[in-house]
Amino acid sequence: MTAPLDPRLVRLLDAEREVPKESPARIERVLDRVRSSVAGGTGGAPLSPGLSGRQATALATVTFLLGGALGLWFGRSGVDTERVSSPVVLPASPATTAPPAAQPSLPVQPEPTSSVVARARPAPATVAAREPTEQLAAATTLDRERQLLDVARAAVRERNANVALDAVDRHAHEFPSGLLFEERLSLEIQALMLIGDRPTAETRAARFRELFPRSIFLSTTAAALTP
Amino acid sequence: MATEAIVGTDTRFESVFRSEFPYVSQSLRRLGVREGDIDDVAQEVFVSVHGKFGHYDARRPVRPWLFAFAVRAASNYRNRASVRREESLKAGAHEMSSTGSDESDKAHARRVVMAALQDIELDRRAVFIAHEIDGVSPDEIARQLSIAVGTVYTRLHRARAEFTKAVERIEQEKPS
Repeated sequence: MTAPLDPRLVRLLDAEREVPKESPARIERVLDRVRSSVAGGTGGAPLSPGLSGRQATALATVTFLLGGALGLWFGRSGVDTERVSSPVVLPASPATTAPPAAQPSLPVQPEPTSSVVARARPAPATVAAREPTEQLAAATTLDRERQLLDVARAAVRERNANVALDAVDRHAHEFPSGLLFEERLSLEIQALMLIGDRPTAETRAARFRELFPRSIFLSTTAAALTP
Repeated sequence: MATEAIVGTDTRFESVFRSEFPYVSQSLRRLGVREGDIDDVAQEVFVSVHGKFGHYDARRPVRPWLFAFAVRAASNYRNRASVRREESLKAGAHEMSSTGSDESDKAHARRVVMAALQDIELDRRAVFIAHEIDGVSPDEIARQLSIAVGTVYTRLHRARAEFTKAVERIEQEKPS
């Protein structure tokens, strides 16, 4: 179903087919780290800067318990408990509730290991904990959205339509109605024009004008459609 | 009985780890993970693999199964990296392609392949590596990556064109 590759390229790829050996010491070192991670040790390196699902759950649980303890303490101390927020289990991070749909194809990531949980930042006091955590989750989501659209924007600037459309598609998959939806649509129109798909670009542009009649991206979008 | 089953699973897991760590590491390099980050990302891969090891169908080849985990981890890795870092990855790969004037033909070929791969977007690159380097059939790729076979062919087609173009560019940039 696919044409054979150029023989010169096949020769190049032949050279890459052989898997280089790794030193036994390195293999054992990483295996030890995997064992530690799986067993709940601390050998694992922190692999994710954001709060993952289990981290969020751990944080929520600690917050809940601390909240309960504080509530009891305040109750016994005669402090006005009305002024203390009830402990609320935090919503899971976006990574938990909405796994990146851009890679639906790939194996579902099991929950992070306890080594990662062990590295979760300590929970602050109950009353103050919730707001920053929510802000952090929102910031992480927005950062991710921004990252994807940064790639798309740079690719449009370099007239690399394939990369731009991939980034736009990924954003659409992960954040169908994300905060940066407006900009995504604008970038998509520009990328569609780059690959010469004017009909789709114009359909999208009409929708864009309808949805965002006062958008700051209107002029860029219009310029992209100008022959 | 349950403990024996767990021990047995762990023994099999460690056996797979020892035999396939080099393959996973090399796959991660091909997928754009920097050398300094390989161990961390490989650890992430195998922790995931361990979590799913009970679901592994031993009648099927293990590498395509592991490769799917590697793709996911590489994707996460790239998502964590900033665009700047991504660019430096490419720059690094391009540098790799143009170093070592007295290296063997084979080593040179590997460097060119590795550099050219960095020019292919990750989803397409994964399909390209699985098919063109690992020799996995489109059906098996579709199964392991949970995508339609038609998508495999589409990605492969585009990846081949990108790879060809990248190799030409790298060969042109080669210092004379």
